[in-house]
Order: sequence, then structure tokens, then C-alpha cells
Amino acid sequence: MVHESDVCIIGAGISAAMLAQKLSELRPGVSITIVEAGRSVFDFENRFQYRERMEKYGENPWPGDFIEGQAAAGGISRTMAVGGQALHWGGTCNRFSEEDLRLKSMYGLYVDWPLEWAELEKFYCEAERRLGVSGEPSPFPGDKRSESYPMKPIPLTWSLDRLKEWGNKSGIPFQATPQAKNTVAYDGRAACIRCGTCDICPTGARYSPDFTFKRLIAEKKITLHDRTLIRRLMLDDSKSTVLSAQGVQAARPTETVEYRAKVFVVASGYTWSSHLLLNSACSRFPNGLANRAGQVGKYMNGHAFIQAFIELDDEIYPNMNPQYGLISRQYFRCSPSDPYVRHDLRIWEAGREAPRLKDANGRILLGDEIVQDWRSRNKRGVARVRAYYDVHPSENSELTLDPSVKNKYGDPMPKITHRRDAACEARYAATKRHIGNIFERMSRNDNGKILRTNEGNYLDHPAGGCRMGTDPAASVCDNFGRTHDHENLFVVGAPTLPTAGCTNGTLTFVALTLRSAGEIARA
Amino acid sequence: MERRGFFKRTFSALLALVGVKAQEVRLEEFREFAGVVLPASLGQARTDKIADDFVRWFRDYRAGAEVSSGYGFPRTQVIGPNPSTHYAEQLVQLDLAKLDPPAKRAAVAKALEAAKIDRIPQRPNGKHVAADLLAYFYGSADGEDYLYGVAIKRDDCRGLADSGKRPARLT
Repeated sequence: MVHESDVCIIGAGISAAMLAQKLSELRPGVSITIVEAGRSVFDFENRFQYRERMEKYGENPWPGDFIEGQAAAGGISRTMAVGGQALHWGGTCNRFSEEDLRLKSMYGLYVDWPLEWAELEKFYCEAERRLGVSGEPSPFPGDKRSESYPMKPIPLTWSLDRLKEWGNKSGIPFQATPQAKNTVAYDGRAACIRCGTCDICPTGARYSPDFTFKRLIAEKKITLHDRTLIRRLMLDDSKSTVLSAQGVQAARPTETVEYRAKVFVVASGYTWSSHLLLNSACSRFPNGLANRAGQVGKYMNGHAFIQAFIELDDEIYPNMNPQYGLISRQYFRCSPSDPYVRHDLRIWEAGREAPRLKDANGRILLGDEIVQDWRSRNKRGVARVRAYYDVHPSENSELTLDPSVKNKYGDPMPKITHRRDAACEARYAATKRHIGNIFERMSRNDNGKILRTNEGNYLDHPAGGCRMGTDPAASVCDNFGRTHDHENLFVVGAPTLPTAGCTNGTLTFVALTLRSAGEIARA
Repeated sequence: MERRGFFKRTFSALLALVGVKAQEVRLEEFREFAGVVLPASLGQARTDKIADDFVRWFRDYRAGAEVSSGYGFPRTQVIGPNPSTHYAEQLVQLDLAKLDPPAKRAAVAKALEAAKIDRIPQRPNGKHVAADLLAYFYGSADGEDYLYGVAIKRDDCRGLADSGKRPARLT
């Protein structure tokens, strides 16, 4: 079966949703087909029930949001559904800073991004409008905004208010973390009512791409084919343009389905975008499409993190709004004359120790003894403090195809191995010391005591694999996501990022995608 | 891959079958037992309600249901077997009806020791009904509020307006 359209978008996550929405505005009447391997999870009316089962039993609040046998080794999520990982996301919408884009020119590190901060900033504003972000302006001049946030910030809870006061005593200014959550009814969705389970927001106050897709389908602006895995992109026989995307529908696994379009956009996230390009190898591009320079799957990135649990003399309660927290952007900037370390700094309310069954002497506790024992040991509040710090990938921080693990169609599955460049490795000890000193400094207030610290053993908020750049020998696409090797093939969102900055990346993925939309509309 | 999927589905179906046996606990007996395990300061009415809620919890349990594959190090997994399979038998072994309060407490403590349970599990896991009732209660929003002595009400959708207020003290 062959389907034809003007634009074929492969993948139906947050980047695809934003791209399709904007394209349909810029080019009314353009035919857009979106193809997604996972299923549509459009049963919004069941979310309260799913939330309840999750809370009571730990059941998956997004049942069937993955595909058996379609998984990446080293990936941080298995979600594969219409909406992608943004079905589950916490909604945090931090911006990067100009320093992220100027690593080479300011610090002599890694590479500069191939676009200017002022240009990106415009699209941050657009992303915030489209997603519906609530937030408050940063006190730092370098974070100057050209537009206000669409909505006021979510009010701090009692606990966060106390923790903000505590954090500020260290001389580090904290503020509410911007969130794609409505503080008033916005864009047809309800205001937040503080259910505390943002990964399954039962009211729709937190943005998720399913809302955009449902609207675009209802308005007949897109055609969505879910449960359809695109396995390969096929080139035109005589040109280096992409002719079609070939895949298979879950319901008809023996038949090939083909999508033809003038423009193809790979919007399959940091894992499956590189995977599709590599898996599309052909005689003219034996290493995969868009991979003449061997850059596809390279420079996989993310940021590292260190966190501490700090006990303090204050009345802090957990679970008042557990997926909401504070951020300081003080360390987003680093003087070029100082040793390089850049990170965000976050605070969340945290719970105290769990009740125990045996006391220190090994005697079983029952009845009121458990409560008394717990209260005797837990008289103070606890803060969770985390720093996401900037690390840069080496070229062999990569996604490769693993021929030993195949899906049911015989396609090799991806394997991701993150590696940091030599400069990162060299400054690791100093970075750790710097962050540890900040935790110590914070713990000096309110009789604080660091209970424990730990380091993340994976890179969070991952991106990369199809990094953008001006040099076709060192990048996969230009700053609009157009691949250097194929005029009608774009990659958007997370894969295009040269680095993952030092804070959550989703807003940046969306901003870059919205910028690409103009170019794709012109194509 | 297909073979692995088949085994997973079969395992899930078996777990669901095991769950059928989880309804043999007598409510009155269970309430009496809960009075030994849970804080007396809760009072009889609340203790009975928690006991009833726990019975409803394990009756509505769906062995083999999907668990979120998680974030960071994802893997597909399912909800394990219904933990209540041996609760009725464990309650019979405790035989609390004939005992005075100190002896009841001692019997439960002895059973926990015999089952080699050192801590309250994160979720009921079927090792012993006493540990599981504690896990159920202290893992619940009510249990959390009881420990902290305030109404956090984490399972409720509480609105933004009162977000900044100190949670009310429990009376």
C-alpha cells in the first residue's frame, strides 16, 4: 500500500506535534502524514482511573506505551507511543543559556552551536506559548527574555516556600521552575489542581502531545498512522533525495507499507532517528542515509548529575507537589578565566526515612511503637538538592546497530554508549568538588546536615546523534535540521543538539523544531 | 523476541490465576488482627477501615498487570503474584482469638521473626500478612499523614489556591 502526502513526519512525539501544528498554520492545505510505531493513547477520560491504579498498585498509567522487542540498550526510556516520552514528562521547561551555544568561542571547549542565542530565544518564546508554560523571570541579566511567560508560576507549596528561604540563605537565588502546566485554563486545557502525579496528569493541565494530535486530526490537518514502524528510508534512483519511507503496520506484519512525500522529517527522538538513518543503508550510502561523513549516531549527549539529601531544621513535608521544585541559574555561567564548570541547581521537597520494623536492638516494633520510633528519629525536614552539570561527548559517544539483538522484523536494535570527551574527564574531580562545596555551603544554614550524596550513573535528558553544524564533515544537518546529504530530508528535535546543556532539554528540542518548521514549510 | 513475549504473557496469565485464591480472609478476623499490628492510637473505627481497605486492595489486585517500564534503566515488567495467597493460613496460624493483648503482640512478633522479616517492605510482597498490612498502611497517603501528623493528602487533587498553606494538623 502506498500513501502520498506533501510532508511525511516519522515519529509522533513532542517535536512532531509542534512541527505539524506550525506547518499546518504556515502552509494551510499542506498534506501532512505522521507515522508512529507505537499506539495512540487517546483515552484521556480514563486518566483518573489509571492514576488511581498507579498509586495503589504501581500499575503502568500508560498501558501499552511500548513495543515488545523494540528497545535500545542504553536508552533511558522504552516509551514508544503517540506523544512519545512527553506523555510522561514532568513538564519542566528550563531554557539553556547563551554559553551552551558558545562553548568553543568562550571557553575553547567542544564546539559552538551553529546559531545565535538571540535567534534561539525567539523560538523559546514561541515554544512557551505553544506548550503553555507558567513561570517567573530569572533574576540574572543573562537570562533576559523578550516575552513574558504565558502564565504566572505555579504557587510554591508550604514546603517549597520554606526551602526557597533556606536555599536563598546560601546567597544563591532560587526561583520556581518553569513548567508546561496551566495555572489558569489555557489552550483548551484545564488549570492544574495539584494532583501531584504529573507523569499521568488526570486533568490535562500539563501539556502532552496527544492534545495537539487529537486537535489536528479533528481539524483534518494531519493524517496519523499509528502502530506503523518505519524501517527504512528509500532514495530516489537517480538523485540523493528521499523517495519514500517503508515500514510495516502491526496489524499486517507481512505487508510493506510505503509513504511517499516531497519532504521527509525524522522526528523520532534521540534514539530512533539515528537508528532509522543507519538502518537505511543502501548501495549509494552504505553507512546509512545522511551519513556520508560518518556522523550519524555520533556525539550522543546528555548531562551528568550529582544530588544530595540534606536534613535541616524546618517543617518540610513531602508530596505536597512532588514534581514541582526550585531552580537556581546562578551557575549556568562561568567566567572564561575560571576553571570550567556549569550546572543548574535544583531543590525538591523530600520525605524522611521510612518507618522500621525493628529498633536499634533488633526488637520487633508493632502498633504505636512504630509511629513513636519513627517520630523520635524524624524531627527535621529533608531537602533533595541536585545539580545537572554540563558534559561534552566524545565522537565515539555513539549509537550503533547491534546485529546480535534484532526486532521481530530482523532489524538490528540500537545500542547507546555515552562517553565524555577528554576535557570533561580531566575536570571531573574539580566539578565534583565544586558541586560538593555548594552542597556543604547550603547545609550550613538551618543546622543542615548532608545525609547522603550520590551521582547519576546515566546521562539524563539525552540528545544528539544527528548533531547540527556548518561543516558537513563534522555534522549531520544544518541549523534547520536539513541533512547535508539529502535536500528533502530533515531531522528535528533532540537528535540535532550538539550538547545537552546543564538543564532539562525538552523546551530546547521544541524551540529548535519550531525554527525548523519555517524552513520545512519553504521546502 | 517472540518467544520471550510468549513466556511473559503465559507468566502473566498464571499470575492472574493465582490471584483468584486471594479472597479467603474473614473480615472480622482481619479487623482483630489489624488492631494488633496497627497503632492503637488510630482508634477502632479507623483501624477497621484500614483493614477493610486492605482487604479490598488485595481483592482488586491484578497480578500480571503491566508496570511502567521506568526511566533511566527501563525494563518491561508486570505486577507480581497476589500477596494475599497465604494470608488466611497465616491468620489461622496466629490464632489470635484465644489470646490476651500481650500474647497477641508476641504471637505476631514471633511470626515475623520466624518469617525472617527485618523491615517493612515497600509494597506488600506476600511473605507475611503482618508485614504486608504495615507496608500497605505506611505506604498509603493515610499512613504518611499519620506519621507526619498532618493532612498532606497526597492522593487528592488539592488545588493550587491553598498550596502555600501549612498542611492542617491531624486531630
